[in-house]
Amino acid sequence: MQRRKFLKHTSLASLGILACPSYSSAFSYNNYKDVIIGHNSHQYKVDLNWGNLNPLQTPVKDCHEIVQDSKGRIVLLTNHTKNNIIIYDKSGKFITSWGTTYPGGHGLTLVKENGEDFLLITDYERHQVIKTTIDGKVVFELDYPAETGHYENKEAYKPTETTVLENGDFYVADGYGNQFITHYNHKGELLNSFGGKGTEDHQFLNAHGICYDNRDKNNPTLLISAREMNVLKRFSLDGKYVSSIKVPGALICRPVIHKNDIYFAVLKSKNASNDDSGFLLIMNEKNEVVSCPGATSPNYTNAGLEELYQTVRLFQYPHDVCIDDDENLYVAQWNSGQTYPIKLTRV
Amino acid sequence: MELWTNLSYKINAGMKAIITILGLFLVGCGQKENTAYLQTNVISVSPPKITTNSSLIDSFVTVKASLKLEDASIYYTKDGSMPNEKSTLYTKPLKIEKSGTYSFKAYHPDWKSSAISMITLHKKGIDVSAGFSVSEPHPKYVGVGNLTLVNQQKASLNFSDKQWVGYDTLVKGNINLKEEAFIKSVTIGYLSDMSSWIFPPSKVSVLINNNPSLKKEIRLNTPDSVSARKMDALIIPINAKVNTLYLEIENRTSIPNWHEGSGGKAWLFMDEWIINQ
Repeated sequence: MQRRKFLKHTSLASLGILACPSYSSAFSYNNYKDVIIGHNSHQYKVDLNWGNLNPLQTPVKDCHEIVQDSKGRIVLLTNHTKNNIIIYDKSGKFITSWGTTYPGGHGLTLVKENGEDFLLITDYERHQVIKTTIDGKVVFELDYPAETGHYENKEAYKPTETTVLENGDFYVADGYGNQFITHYNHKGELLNSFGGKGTEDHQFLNAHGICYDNRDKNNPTLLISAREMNVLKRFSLDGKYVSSIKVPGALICRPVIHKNDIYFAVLKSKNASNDDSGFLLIMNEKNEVVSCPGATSPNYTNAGLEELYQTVRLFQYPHDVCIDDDENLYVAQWNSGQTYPIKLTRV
Repeated sequence: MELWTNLSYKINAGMKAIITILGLFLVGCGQKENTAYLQTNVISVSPPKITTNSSLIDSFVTVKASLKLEDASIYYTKDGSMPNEKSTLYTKPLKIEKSGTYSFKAYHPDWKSSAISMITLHKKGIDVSAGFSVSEPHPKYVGVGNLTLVNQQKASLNFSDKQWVGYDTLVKGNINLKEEAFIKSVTIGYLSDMSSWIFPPSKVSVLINNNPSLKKEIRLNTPDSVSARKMDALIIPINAKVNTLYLEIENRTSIPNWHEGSGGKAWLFMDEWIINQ
């Protein structure tokens, strides 16, 4: 019975093939298998065509970060000043673009206030954090935090990322500058500054990304990546160092929390022979690495997590990852030949 | 029914075909669906990762090649030729006694084969640390001290490895041997990592026993594109009885115009000078 049912499907399918001339010779199944990347609970098919636009009309340079807004749209930040923000629907169809004044547009965070979407953009060339409406009107521009005493001039401040609490407080990570984390209230008034460049527990080398971790509602904290050190560091909201999570071999960009998991774009593998050796990394609710799309399968021994490295040349320099409400991923890449994001569909 | 009998596939091969065909049906004929997922054998696997306990051979060194990816196989050659699937299959770490270039390539049924990873192993030279001096490196890349270049330790591919000594100027070095010895050659180990602005040297010259008629000089061609990061070496034949050697090694003073650093000076990173008897 089973077999008979099966055969019926086969003939239907082949009729379909005949009706569709471009695939009429596609009987060689080996050539048409979808690639699946990732491990364990998090595995994906890869869509390299997603979001490709006419580069003469809507060009990108580096695709730095990408978020999903309240309407479900995918919002991309690039440092191309013809259109710093490009907005897509989930299928990759272009909706709109704006922004010509963010030459160092790097960090992109969605802020929801009273049902309205805003964006926090960090620009390391302007040495500023800029808050805008979702359609690009500037709400405020925040200069370097001179009053902390950690900065001699604006050039020492090259902010890479922000994160926002429920009460509107936000933190800025200065990943390309003096490596301090600056804490502001919702009006942009300075509350605290901590971190700084160095190799001690409370310091950073390349504090590239920051995110608010409220998965434990009773004990919310901050997660901050020290990319050069292959470490994710946890801090209290008042800036005290709590703990470190090591990710050997992985130059992690910002942490992105979605449901109970943390997702990262990994810019590159520490010890690969090719420099463009990035991949993705996913941690579960216990902060254990469970999947590395494009890289080695995570393996824990008594010595901890084994060194991770790229195994397939799919990603070049992935720089950020966005998880949509269907659990699919969008990967923005730095220095990848001005290419548009890659979409991964969870299987 | 007929279709089935016409096909000679085994059951599970048939299943694969059906799934694929259904997939194609949806993708190919659905006018609004633009999703065509990445297929097998379009993207390459990464080159195997090569690690050694030392890349200077005293008695032997162990070379390990790895690509931790299910169903991947690694083939290798020991004679400098390009490996393919007819070369030797790598199954366990290699115990290597002979200097030379060892090349590895990974294959996988679902991905294209990898680029080649190569490692060149050198025999350990004589210890010249007692009579060695060299011009000051750039203060950011001083290695592990004045003797880094002759401490009989190689660096790794990572330019922040402390066994690298970095220069952005002409390098001048003196070697005074304890007693006269026949020297076959001098090996200069360097890093080529052009995306980090680290280029091979442009010229190496060796003056033997302060005798201008015993001067050896090698000029290197200007690289014409970025190649994979690699540890490389230049071997300068000496073949003479030697008391002293004076070496000059030039960094590339003008980065070629295809590079983002066009016109600027390049870094020169060296890990080891080997004096071969």
